[in-house]
Amino acid sequence: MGLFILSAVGLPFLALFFFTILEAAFSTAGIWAVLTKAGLDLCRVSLGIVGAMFLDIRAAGTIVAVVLLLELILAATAMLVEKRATDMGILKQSTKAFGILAFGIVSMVIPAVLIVLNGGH
Amino acid sequence: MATNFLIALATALGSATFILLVLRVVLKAVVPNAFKEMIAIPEKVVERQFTETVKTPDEVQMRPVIIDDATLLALSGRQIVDLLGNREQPLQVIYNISSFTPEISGMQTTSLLSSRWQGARSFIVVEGKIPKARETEEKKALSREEILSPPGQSTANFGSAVKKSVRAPNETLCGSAS
Repeated sequence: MGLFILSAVGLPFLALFFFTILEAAFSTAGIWAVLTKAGLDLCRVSLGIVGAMFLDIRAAGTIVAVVLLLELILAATAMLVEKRATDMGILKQSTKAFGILAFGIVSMVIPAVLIVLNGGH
Repeated sequence: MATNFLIALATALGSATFILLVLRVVLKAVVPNAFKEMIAIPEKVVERQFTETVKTPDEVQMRPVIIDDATLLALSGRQIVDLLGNREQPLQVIYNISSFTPEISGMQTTSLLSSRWQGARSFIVVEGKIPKARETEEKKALSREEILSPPGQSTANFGSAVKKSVRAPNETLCGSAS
């Protein structure tokens, strides 16, 4: 099970972490722009992690579908915050970046925990 | 399965809070000034505000009143004053050169003007404003010469307050000049 979790969740997360560090090192964008992009990337990567849940689709196909849609909603909300932060009353770059990052983390952890709880089959 | 989902949700929220808290503390220590950065106002909003500023009624009223010399001669001083929306509004008078120098033919007039002003032909546009000193004498019937020549002027001409410029008149107002 450990290897399964590592390949489904650990590898994508570590790859994302690696590329975020690279971007922070070589990009001219500010720290908040880098974190915002990392949050959106977390949302995208989490959609891939949900794919691992389909391996256990016999157990709870409906739950997998619900989680997939939840992931899509979280990703869409993160994009909404990114594009319309000012309209939503968010004035600080830090608040915007942390908000998007929070959506990314939540959307990544939910399928990861579900895989762990289901035994990683 | 529903219990698992709730556990996953709680774990996600808890871990997100924890990670963001740690990240915030670290960033506060490393780059404290970064937290003061504000989101830039989108360009579209700025553009819309600029357009609204340009279209204020005061600005619209400052457009010059365009009139030709023949009509201006027929008006009294009071009528000229009433013609303007306010005292700061400029007055553009279109003079026909042939009325001053009838011996100059149309071709000669054209050759006097540079090619850049081909549309002007035999017209001269003079722009001016009524001097502010006149504002207190509204009740007095002003003559055309008084409006165009402020007090202290030794010779009567278009007046010191008149900003003279030779430019191509608006053909829609003047018709096609030849």
